Amino acid sequence: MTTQPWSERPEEEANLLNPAFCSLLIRSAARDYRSATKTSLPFALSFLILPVVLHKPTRDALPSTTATLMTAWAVANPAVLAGFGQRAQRFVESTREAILFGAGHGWLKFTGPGLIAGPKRLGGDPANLPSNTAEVGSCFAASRLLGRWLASAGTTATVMSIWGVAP
Amino acid sequence: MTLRLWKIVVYGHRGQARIVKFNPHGLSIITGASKTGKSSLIDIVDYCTGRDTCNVADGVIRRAVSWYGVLFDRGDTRIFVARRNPPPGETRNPEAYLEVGGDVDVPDHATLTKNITVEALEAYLTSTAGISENVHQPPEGQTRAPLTANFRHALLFSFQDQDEIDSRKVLFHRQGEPFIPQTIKDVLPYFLGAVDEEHLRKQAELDQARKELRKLERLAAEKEEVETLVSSRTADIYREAQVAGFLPEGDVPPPSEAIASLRSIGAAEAAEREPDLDGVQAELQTERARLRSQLSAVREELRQVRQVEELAGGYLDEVLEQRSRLAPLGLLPKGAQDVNACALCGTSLDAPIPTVAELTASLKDLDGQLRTVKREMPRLQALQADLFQRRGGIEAALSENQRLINEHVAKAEQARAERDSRLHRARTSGRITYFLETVRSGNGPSDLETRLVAARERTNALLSLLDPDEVRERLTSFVNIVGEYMTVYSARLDLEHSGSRLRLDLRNLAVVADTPDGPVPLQRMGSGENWVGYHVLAHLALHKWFRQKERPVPAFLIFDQPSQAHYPPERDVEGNVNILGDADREAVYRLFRLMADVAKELTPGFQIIVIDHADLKDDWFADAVVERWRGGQALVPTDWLDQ
Repeated sequence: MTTQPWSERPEEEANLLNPAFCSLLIRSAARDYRSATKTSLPFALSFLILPVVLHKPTRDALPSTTATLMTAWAVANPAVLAGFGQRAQRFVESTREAILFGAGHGWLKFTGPGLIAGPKRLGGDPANLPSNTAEVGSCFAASRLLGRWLASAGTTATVMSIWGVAP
Repeated sequence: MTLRLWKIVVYGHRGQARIVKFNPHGLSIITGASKTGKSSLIDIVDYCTGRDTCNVADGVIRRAVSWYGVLFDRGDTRIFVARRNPPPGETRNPEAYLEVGGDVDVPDHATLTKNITVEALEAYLTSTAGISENVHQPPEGQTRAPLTANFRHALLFSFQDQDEIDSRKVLFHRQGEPFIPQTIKDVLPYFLGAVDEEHLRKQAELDQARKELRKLERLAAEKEEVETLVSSRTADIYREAQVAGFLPEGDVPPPSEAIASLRSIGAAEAAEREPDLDGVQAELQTERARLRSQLSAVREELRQVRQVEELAGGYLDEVLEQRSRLAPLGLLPKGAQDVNACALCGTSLDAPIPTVAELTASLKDLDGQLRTVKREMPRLQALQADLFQRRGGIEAALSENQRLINEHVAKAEQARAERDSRLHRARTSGRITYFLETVRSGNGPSDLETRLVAARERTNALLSLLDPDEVRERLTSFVNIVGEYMTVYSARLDLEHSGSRLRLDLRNLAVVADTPDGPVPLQRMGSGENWVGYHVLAHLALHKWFRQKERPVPAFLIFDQPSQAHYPPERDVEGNVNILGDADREAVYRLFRLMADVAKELTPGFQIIVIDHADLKDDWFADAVVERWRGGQALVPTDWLDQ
C-alpha cells in the first residue's frame, strides 16, 4: 500500500478526504449501527460509508428514513448503483487511512471482526464544530442514517451483493 | 443460467425448520398420501416469490407455520427468500426476507426479519432470473395498458397444480383467473425469445429519430416554400437597394447573384455597427451557459451508464452477459493465506495482532460467500431512454436560444439603424436584412438534404427492428418448433391423437392436434388421460425450448398429481400401482418414464418436480424420490401443533 504523504496530495483532495473527517464519519455510522444491533459494524461494511456519504448524488438519493428498505431502494435507484463499484474502489485507501487514524485517536475501536465508536470524541457526537458547514452536517446525517440502515438490511454478503461489491 | 429450486422450508412457531430438498438436476419426486401438504408446495413457492395472497389451504400448515422459505440456486449465486405466514383468517402479510450469497443455506428462524418489500422482491427476482427490461405494447385500438413481463409471469409456465393438469379448458397455471389469459398471450412472445432484448432502448431511439426527422422535414418544406417566393421578391428588393444607392445601376442579375450582392451590403452595414449588448442579450447568454452545463451533465451521466454496461460485457451482447462480477474492493491483503498480513494496512506484521487475525478471517469468510456471486446489471434501459429525452430537450432549448440570440442581434442592429440619420438607407437596409433573414431561415442547415436522407434511413432501420410483423413471424416459427417437440414426445404416450401433428394455439392458449379430419383442440378431446397427457407434453416441449434458447424462465417445472387420471387419490393404497389394471398401470409408467427422460435430456440445469400418490418400484423411480410422506410423515411434523 502506498499512501501519498499529506504534503504531496492535491490540496482539494487532501482537505475533502482528510482522515480526521473521514474517520468521524465512520465513527458516527458505527455508533448508530451499534445502537440498532448491539454489535460492531462489520469491517467490510465500513468500506461502504465513505463512497455513499461523500458522493453527493448518492447521498442526495438516500431515503429520508430507514423505514425504506435498502433492497427496495436499490431496485428504485439503478443510476446510483450503476457506478458504485468503481467509486467504492477509489475510496478504499481513504477508508483504511481513516480507520487507522480514528483508531489512533481513540475515535474508533476494534472489537472482534468489526468497529465500534471509541471512548474519545471530538466536540460532540457527531462532531459539532464551529467550522461545520451545511454540507458537513448533511454528511454526518447521512452517515448516521447509513449506520442504522445497514443494521436492518440483512447479512453482510447480501448487503454487499446489493451494492455490487465484494471484499 | 437461471433459477432452480433447491430447498423449500417451513418454519414452526417455536423456531423449528422442516426442509424439503430437491435433486439439483433431473427428476425429483415427492410421493405420499392425501392431506400431507404435497399440494401446498406450489402455493408456497408462489407466495414466497411475491404472489399477493397466500393460497396455502387453511389447515395444519397454516396453523403450524410461522414463515415459508424457498432457496434458489442460480449456479453462481444462491438466493433465499422467505415470507411470513399470514395469521389465520388473513391471506396476506407484507413481511419478506431476502438473503443472497455464494453458499447461502437455509438460515435460522431467528434471522428472519423484514428486509425487503414484496414489490422489491418481485423486482429483484425478475432481474436475478435474467429477465431484461421489456414492455409489451398492445396493438393500436386496444385499451389495455402496456405490460412488462416479470418473474411472476415466468412462473406461470412452471406450475401445474392438480386442478390444472387434468383440465380440458385451462392449459397454463392460473389461466382460469380473470385477465390472466391475456397476460399470458402478452408475455409469451418475450419468454419465447421473439422480442428483441433491446426493445425498450430501441423504442426510445426511434422516438428520438422520428422527432429529428419531423424537424428536418419541416425545415425542408419551409425551404421549398421560401424558394418560390424568393425569385419574385429578389428583383423588387434589388431595385429598392439600387434606388437607395447601395448597389450600382443596371439590370437585375439572376436571383442567386442578386442575393449574394444583397448579402454583401448586409455584411458591410453590420460591420459599421457595434453590437448592442443590453440586458436581454446578457440574459440569453446566461441561459445559454446554463443549458450548456446541463447538457454536459446529461452527457456525462449517459457516458457513465454506457461505461457500466460495457464493463458488463457490452450492451449489445446476449441477455446472459448482462451480468457482471462484483467489483472487488481489494480489502484482503495479497496472499491472504499469510495470517500475519494485516487487512488494515496491507503490510505484513511480525506478530499477528488478534484483532487483525479476526478481521482477516471474517473477510476471507465473506470473500468465500461472494466469490462466485454475479451481479445483475442495474436496469438501465429505461434510465437511458429518459436521459436521451432530456438531452433532446436541452438541445432543442439550446437551438431555440441560439435563434433568439440571432434575432436579438438583428433587432438591435435594426434599432440602431433606425436611430441613424440616414433613415431611408437604414430602412432599406432593414428591409434587405429582413429579406435575407427569411432567405436564410428558409435555407436551413446547408446539409439539409443529406441529413434528411440519413434521418429517414435511421428511422426506417429502427422501425424494421421493432416491426411487430417480424416479432409475429419469429413467434410463429418458434411456436412451430415447440409443436414439433410436442409431436415427438407424444409418440411416447398412448394418447387419443397419437401420431397427429400437435401444436400450441396461442390465440386460445390450447393444444391442438391436426388430424386428417381437421384440427381438434384440447377442449374437444375426451377423457382425463388425454388432458393430463397434453398438459405434460406442452410444458415439457416449452421448457425444452426455454432451455435451448437459455430463456429467463425458471429452470424447473412442478407437476401436481399427473397420475390422477389412472390412479385417483381414492384408490391410493400405499402408492402401489399394481392394484390397477394393466392399461392404467402401463399408462402411469409411461408418463413417469417420459418425465424422467426429458428431465435427463435437459440436464444439467433443469429440474422436474413431481408430486404424486404413485410410488413405482423401479430403480429409476426410487432414485428420484426425495420424500415419502406416509405413515405420519408429512410436510409439517405432527408434533409441531403439540403445545
